[in-house]
Amino acid sequence: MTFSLTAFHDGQKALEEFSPMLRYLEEKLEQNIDFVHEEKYEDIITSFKNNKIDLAYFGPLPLAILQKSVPSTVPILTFNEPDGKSSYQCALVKSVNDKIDFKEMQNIKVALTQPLSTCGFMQTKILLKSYASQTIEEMKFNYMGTHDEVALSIIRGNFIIGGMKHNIAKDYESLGLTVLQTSQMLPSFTLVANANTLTEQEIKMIKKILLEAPPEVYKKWGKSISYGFSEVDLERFKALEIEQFEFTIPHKGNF
Amino acid sequence: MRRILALFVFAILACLILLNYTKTQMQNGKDSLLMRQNQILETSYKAVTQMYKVSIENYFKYVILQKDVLAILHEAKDANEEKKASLRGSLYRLLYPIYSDDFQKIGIRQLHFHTTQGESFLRFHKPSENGDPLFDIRPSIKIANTEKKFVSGFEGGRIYPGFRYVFPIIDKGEHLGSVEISLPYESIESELSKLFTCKNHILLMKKSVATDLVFDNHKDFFMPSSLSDTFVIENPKISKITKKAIDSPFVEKINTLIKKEYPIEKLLLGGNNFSIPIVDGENGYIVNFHPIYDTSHKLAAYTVTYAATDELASMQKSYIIESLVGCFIVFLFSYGIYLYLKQNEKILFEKLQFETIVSTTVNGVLLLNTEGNITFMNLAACNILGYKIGETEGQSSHELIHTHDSSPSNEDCQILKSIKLQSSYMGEEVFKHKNDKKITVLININPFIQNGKSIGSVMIFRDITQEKKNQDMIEHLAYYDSLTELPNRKLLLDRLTTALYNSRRSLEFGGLLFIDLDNFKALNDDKGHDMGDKLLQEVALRLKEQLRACDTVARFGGDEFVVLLTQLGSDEEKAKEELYKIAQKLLLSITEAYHLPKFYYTCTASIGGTLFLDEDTTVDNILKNADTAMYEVKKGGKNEIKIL
Repeated sequence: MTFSLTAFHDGQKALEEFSPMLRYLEEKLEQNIDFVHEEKYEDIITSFKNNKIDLAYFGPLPLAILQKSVPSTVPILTFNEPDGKSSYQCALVKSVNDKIDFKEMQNIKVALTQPLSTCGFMQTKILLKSYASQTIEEMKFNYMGTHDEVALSIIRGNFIIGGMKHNIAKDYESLGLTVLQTSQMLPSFTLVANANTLTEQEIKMIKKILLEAPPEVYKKWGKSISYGFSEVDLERFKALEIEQFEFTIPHKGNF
Repeated sequence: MRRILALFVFAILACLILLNYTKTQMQNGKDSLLMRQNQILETSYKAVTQMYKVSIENYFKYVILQKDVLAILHEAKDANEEKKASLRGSLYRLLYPIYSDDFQKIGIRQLHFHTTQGESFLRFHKPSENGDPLFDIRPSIKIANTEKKFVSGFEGGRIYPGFRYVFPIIDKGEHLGSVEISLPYESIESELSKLFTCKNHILLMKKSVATDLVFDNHKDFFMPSSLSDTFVIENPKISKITKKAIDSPFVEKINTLIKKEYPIEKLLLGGNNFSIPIVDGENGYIVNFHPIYDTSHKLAAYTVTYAATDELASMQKSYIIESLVGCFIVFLFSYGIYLYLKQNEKILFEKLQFETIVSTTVNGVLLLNTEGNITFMNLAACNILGYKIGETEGQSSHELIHTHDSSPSNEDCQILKSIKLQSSYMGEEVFKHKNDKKITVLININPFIQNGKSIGSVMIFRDITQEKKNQDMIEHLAYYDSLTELPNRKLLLDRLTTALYNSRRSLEFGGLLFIDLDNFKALNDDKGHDMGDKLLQEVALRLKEQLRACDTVARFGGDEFVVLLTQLGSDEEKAKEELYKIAQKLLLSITEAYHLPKFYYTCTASIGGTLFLDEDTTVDNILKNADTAMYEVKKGGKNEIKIL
């Protein structure tokens, strides 16, 4: 069985975060699960299409895109946030050491995660509307690859402002990263299965194992996945009206 | 059988000693090779860590202790959390360029600031994780902040173990905390591989510095080692070095062999340098273990190198070849000894056989050199010739024991000829006893050949003196009458045949007289056979006295005598006349009185004679004619002579 994710962290951090959960699943399923880290969401989607991946970790936007291009995609369950709910927020962040003139934002550098990341271009564009008189397209933006890198690039002073997952941004408050604005509640990250490579029985088994995992077990997993699981609420995904963004998201930075 | 067994045991023991010797030689060679490899690794390791120490000290001096950094640390010391966050961000922003550029270039992974109380202030490698206490798990940080001195060594940590260089930061007498600059094993390996060539590296860490210390979510940075249960290795997903080693089939194979054939757990816990040689078919490998100590000089890890070497396989091959050749030579040598002993035993047996035969035989045995001098004389020869053992050695055999009846020259002596010409000779000879008594011997002399070359002669002889005498006696008994000592009927017939042949050749007449004593039966009957025999002996003597030496008188049977006369001339009449005269002489001699014991006796005889020359005449005819003539005399009144 093969598990893959991207956008969330770099390879090493991803391994730290997800290995305990995968070991738990291996033990319960009595089969080996290989970990594959991809740099981009597009690569995971391609591998998923080619049936090279059995399980993947997706945010709402890439999940919608994946479901559209790969009908065999089966969302199994969503990962709870620190407050125990199955929803999260994106955040607009900056460093306390930088001062921003929100009226003159056209030369400001904006750090984004990935084109197909929910908290990337899509949500940052929405969040910036209430702060700046310019649109994100009029600013200088670029993709950092991961949420952590968005935070760090701002702390280092390479970017002035950025969009990232709110609970990850909190990890960097101790380095002077501050949240300017948060988004509406979004459906949490989802564990999806490939129905072309896994049987219905296997998918049900994985779902059952994770839903029944005791708190003392999942609390020891990576910080972003250590709050339990919830059933997938597909209606909440539809409410996001993600389709309207899909074809307007630039796939490269503008500087 | 016992000798073969002893030789076999000797061969086995010799092989064992040889195998032990060659194995020791191979082991010494291996040990020397391993020691050399290990010394190179140790020296290289020391050079690399020293090089890093010098570089890192310079970075501390010129980068960490710069004015702006110290200002931030001064301010952070008493700041609230919000201010600290800002200052932490500022410090990160200030040093990140050099951290990401210079530090990364030389392989520094961790730049970590700590507060004076031992809390993590800023991890450049994990900026979001800070504020955690470190004194309990990081002795180096505790020493640097409490004893305020520089500490270095391999040490575990919350994120990952590494080669730590921890400096206390003191500015203008004020203690501001500490900073740690750490290297991952990959950096050490990168430099090490420039000095020490090997196929693969692995960092083998004690669990106490790895999985036992890190945050729970970092435990997957490690995985169990196939070599030991108390050590772990880096997860290949985060370590290219481990991945390379894990992906290499030979590393796993070698580890399996090490675990199977060596007390690796015990060796690892020893905390010393050691090397393990592995020979797998044609390939040889050396696995070096160099211990890495923590800041308190306790064993923390091992750098393990897997190097391929042809020398090991070559040594192993040489050992096998030397052992096989050596054992082959030992067995060959043993077989040679066996053959030698067997041959020796055969020679000894043959010598014993020879000595037994020579000493017990009744035949005399002499060994002579090419000059004919005696080199050996056996007991029988000594007894025959009257010498003691050893008395004759070196003396000329010819002069000492050989005699010639007709005194021929040495050149004619058959024995000397045989010795000189190295030829064989068998015949009767006459030897002389020490006391000059002559001994007739039958000798057989042959060349004495050794290695295809004659070294003298062997003479075997037998004393036949008595045999000769016995033979003469037998011959006498066969041809002579035992009572009268006259030739008997058989010898007479032989001589008559010869005489007839000679007469025909010489054309001279021979004559035969048949003499029968008259009335002899009456003497036997009246006086007994003894008297009769006595008379016959007397008659025989008188007849021999009357005849020539060339004539023959024989007792033909009972009281019958036959006289054979030769060379009576070629004239028949004269021969007949001569024959008659002789017959008269014999008759006269017979008729003279005999002085028999206790009485005198006179007798007459009837004599018949005949001549012979004719080619058609036979021995039987001659005898028949003489007998007929004698019978006519008997019929005519006896005591007469009639010649036909």
